[in-house]
Formats: sequence, structure tokens, C-alpha cells
Amino acid sequence: MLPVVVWNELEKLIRRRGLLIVLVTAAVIGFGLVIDLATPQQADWKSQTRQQIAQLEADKVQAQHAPAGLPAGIEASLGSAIDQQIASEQYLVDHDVPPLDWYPAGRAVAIILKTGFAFLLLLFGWLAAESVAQERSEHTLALLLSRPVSRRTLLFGKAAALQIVATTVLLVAMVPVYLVTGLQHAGRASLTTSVMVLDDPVKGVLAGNIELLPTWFYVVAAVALSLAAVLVTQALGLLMSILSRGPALAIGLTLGTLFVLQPMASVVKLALRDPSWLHYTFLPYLSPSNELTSDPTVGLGYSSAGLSLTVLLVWAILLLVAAVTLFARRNESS
Amino acid sequence: MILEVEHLTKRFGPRTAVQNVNLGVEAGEIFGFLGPNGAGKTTAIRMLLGLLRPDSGRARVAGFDCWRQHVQAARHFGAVLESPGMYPALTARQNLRQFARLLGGVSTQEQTDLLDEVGLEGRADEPVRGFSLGMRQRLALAQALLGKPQLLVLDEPTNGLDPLGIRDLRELLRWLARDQGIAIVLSSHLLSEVEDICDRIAIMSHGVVRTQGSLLELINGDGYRFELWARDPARARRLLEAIPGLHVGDGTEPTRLELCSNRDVSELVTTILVEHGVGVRELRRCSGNLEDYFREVTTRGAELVQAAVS
Repeated sequence: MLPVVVWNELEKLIRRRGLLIVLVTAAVIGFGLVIDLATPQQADWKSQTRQQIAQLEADKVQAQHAPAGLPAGIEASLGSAIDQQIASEQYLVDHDVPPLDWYPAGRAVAIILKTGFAFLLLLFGWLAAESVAQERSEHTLALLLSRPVSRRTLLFGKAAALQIVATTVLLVAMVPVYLVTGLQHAGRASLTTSVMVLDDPVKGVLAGNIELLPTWFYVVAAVALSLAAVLVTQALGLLMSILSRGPALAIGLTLGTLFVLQPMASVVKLALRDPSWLHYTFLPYLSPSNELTSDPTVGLGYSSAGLSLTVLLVWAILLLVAAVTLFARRNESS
Repeated sequence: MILEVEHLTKRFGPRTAVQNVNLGVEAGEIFGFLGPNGAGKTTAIRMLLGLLRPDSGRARVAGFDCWRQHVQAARHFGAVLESPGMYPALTARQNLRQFARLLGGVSTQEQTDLLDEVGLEGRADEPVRGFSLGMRQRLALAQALLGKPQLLVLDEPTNGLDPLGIRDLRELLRWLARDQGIAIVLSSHLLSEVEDICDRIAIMSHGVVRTQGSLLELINGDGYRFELWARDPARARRLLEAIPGLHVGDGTEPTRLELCSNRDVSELVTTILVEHGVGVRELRRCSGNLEDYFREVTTRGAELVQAAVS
């Protein structure tokens, strides 16, 4: 029964919101390509990196000979941090490992996640929020529920259809940017390059902490993290949709949560010095650009991405369970 | 019994919307569900369709509990709800296909035939957003008939239909009940419509079924009333007054008599008058009026509620 419900939901979604989905996707692709084409490629990244190393060494000397003198503890830790950064940059030059945004896949993922992904997240939240509430206001929900299909199947069908659309849109948005980026900067050969990532982003660029991933894996990881964020948004939207009588309220509550709580999480993070409980909410992870595109040489950190994925999936499951439980018990009066 | 309702009760907060409703509908029967606005008809129907969870009691369709075994029960019924909802961006055919997929095993030809049957053959490929209320109602009926259900639940199915549409619907319902053996539960405000096609009715008021039974029994009570036009009314009166249990009264016209009895005496009356050479111009059985009966029952219901409150 689930495939039938998914098929029905896809048909309704595409016929009702197909144009909106195409327009937003096209805008995200267009926006991404414009930014990509306008950003100069670091053609000679090695000399740039060497210049950075020279600058860091100069900074270190300047710090040591500061006339007023820094407190001994701070001076030592500053020197140590600069040394570590110099070692990291030198390692990249010595081992011929370019920064992440030099790789076509890295650039493409960064462009999408840092620009258009927020719009996609809002679009998917919108679609999920109106999915049940719209049917309720159009009086089709009662008819649907009077048919031989369980409420659980109906809700999972809606969630699956939304996720299929989200996956397609994300792939459609990423692939053209990736192709154009690759062709523009390094010709066909760059399309098959690897992407440098770190096992643990906290340790930095050190021997033993670096992996060169095939491009396809990096893109899959980017899509998986993005989809986990989308899944949380959709589960939140579905829950609001079940609780609201009309689509306007459901959409308002969902987008309000995304618009208001996310910036609020950043404020809380700053004000309370990154409290640990904040890491167990989904808010810091809704934008996976940090794990995938952190500056400038640190790519996907396995541990960081793993934490994000786990937290997002746990929240998605919790929200979906709440949505299913409420939907299964809710009285649909006229 | 295709539909069995036992002690069905539903409360919304302190208000009891439906209280201890018991009903049964047989295959091939058209059952009228009547009541003023707010009587609890729609709430009761929504419990039959598995949209509302009963607080106590149960409704079963083809032996399956409408709430606990909804998926199995829903295979046996189709429904038209008070406000017919359809997907406006989809065409009539696409709308029908949506619901047909959920049932499974309904061929494209069957769907087309249903669209023809409800008179939408010329508009099947137009988006529903341009449809009138009546056309949506027809499409909702086609949707309800998908998969040949054993029970059809219709909540105000004539909303938005023009007089011809109402006539067509009435004929279709008669055909479905008589020839296809489908049980039909019809909730309507139009008493004439119910009077015309229903075999049995139930009247609800303030959440309670005040009365139910065959239409003729209910509106005529236990007695039989006849109007007699005789050529010699005085002589006819003398002859008929001799029949035990038959009360003979004056009619509104000089040649008319009113006869009341607790049994059907039409044959006996005709035989006696003919044997005694009294010409009979017409002997007609008088039926009661559903509107009067409905008013009487619902007023009594309101009085009971008032008495209980005070």
C-alpha cells in the first residue's frame, strides 16, 4: 500500500507545486553558477599557501618581540597555535594537497550549501507543513481517511514522497554546479579528482588525519547530511501540519521555527559560550556547511559529520513518531 | 446486516454529540438518517467512516470494526461527505484514479464508466478547480462507488445539485439498492427526498436517535386511515359502522367518509359496499406526512432535553 500512497502523493505534489519546485531549483542552480563563475579560482594555490606561511612566521616573530609583552601563558599558547597552523599549511604544500575549494566537488557543494540550501530547506518545510493541513482545508483528508489505508501508511507515504522530491531537487541542484565548476576550472580531468577531508576536524591538517575521498563519496556524504537536515525540517512541518487546522498556520509555525530558532541558537551559543545541551538540539546542524566546507583546507570531518548526522536522524525520528502518534489518534471532525 | 451500530457514543468535552445510538442496515436497503442541524448525524456518520473515534460502543461494516479494523471495514463502504473535497489541481479522472489506486483492482474502464454514470463524461479531463458544487458532488459520488461497495454512506448528497441532478441521483440510488443490493445510508435535510426513496428512517435530535423504523409504520403509527367516496354516504356509513374496530367519521366533503382501523380493512369495506349495492367511487389509503412527524419527534426531543436540564 505504501508505494501506492507515495505515487499518489507525488502526483498531487507535482501537479500542485511542480512549478514552484522547478522555479526554486532553477533559482538555486542559477544563483550557484553565478557565484561560482564570479569567484576566481585559486590557480596557484601553492604560492598563495607559501605566502600565508611566511605571513604566519612574521606574525609569530612580531608577537615574540611585542614591546609591552604578553602574559607568559597567552604568549606560549599563541605561539603554539601559530606553529600548528604553519605545520598544517606546510604539510599541504609538501604533500601537494590543495584546499577544499580548489576541488570542483568541494566548490560545488560549498556553493549550494552556503547559498541555495537555506531556500531549499524553507521550500521543503513549506511543502511538508501544507501537506496534511491543505487536505484538511480542502476537505479531501476526510475522504482519504475513509479509504482502506491506515493513517500511519498515509503519513509515511507523504513523508516518503516529500523526501523523494527533496533528493531529486538536491541532486538536480548540485550536479550542474559540480559539472560547470569542474569544466570551468580544470577541464574534464577535474571531474574525477578526489576531495581532501579530515578524520577529525579538531585535530587539524596532520599526517594520519587526512583522507582523500573519491568525489562521488564526498557528494554522497554532502547529499546525505543535507537530506538528514531536510528530513528534520519535513518532520517538523508534518507535525505542525497535523496540529493546525489550516495550511497558513502550519506553514507559519514551521517557517517561524526555522527562521527564529536557528538565529536564536547562534545567539545562545555566543551568550552562553557554546553550552553542551545546544549540541543535542537539531538547530546547529540544519545547515551542514560547517562539516562539509569549513575553511579553507578542512573538509568533511568524520566525527563532526557523524555527530551531525546522528543528532539530525534522532530528531527526525522523534518528530516523525510524534506526528504519527498524533495523526493516528486525532479526531477528524467536520 | 451490512452495518451494525451498537451503543455508539461520542463526547466533545462536556458536550455529548452522539449518545447510545443503535442502528442496523440490511443489504439492498435505503436507510434515511434525519435530524435538525447539530443533531449529531454528521458525527455519527464520521464514526462509521473511521474519522472519529467512538468514546464507547462500536460500528461495524461487514463485521469489521470501523475504528479498530478501519482498513478492512473501509473496503466495504464508499462515502460522500457533506462538503465534497476533491483535489482542485487534478482533473476529474485523475482525482478518481487517486482513490481507485487506494482500493486496488479498479480498472481504468470502470473508472470511465463511473464518470459516465454520474454525468461527467464530457468534463473528465478538466481540472476540478473549475467545477461547480454540483459537479464536485457528482465526482464525489463516482469516487464513493469505486470498487462496488456493499454500503454507501451519503451525507447531504444533493447539496449543490440542480433538480435534474437530484432526480438522476434518486434514480441511481434506487437502482443501486434494488438491482445491485447495495445498502445505502442517506443523511439529508430534504424530507421529501427521504420520504421518496427511503425504506426505513431514523430521526436524531440532540445526539439521540428518537425513533427508527419503516417509513410507513412511523408516520402512520399503528393505525390505518382511509378516505371513501361513496354514491350514498349515509347508507355506506350505516353498513360500515357494523364492522367491529372500524371508526367512521365525516369527511370534508358531503360524499366523503373517513375510516380508521387498527388493521387493513380496504378489501372488507369494498366487498360489503358492493354486495349491498352501494356504489364506491374511490377508496384511498391516507398516508401520514413525514414533515409533521419529523416536527413532532424533534420537538418532543427538544422538550425532553429541556426537562432534563431544568
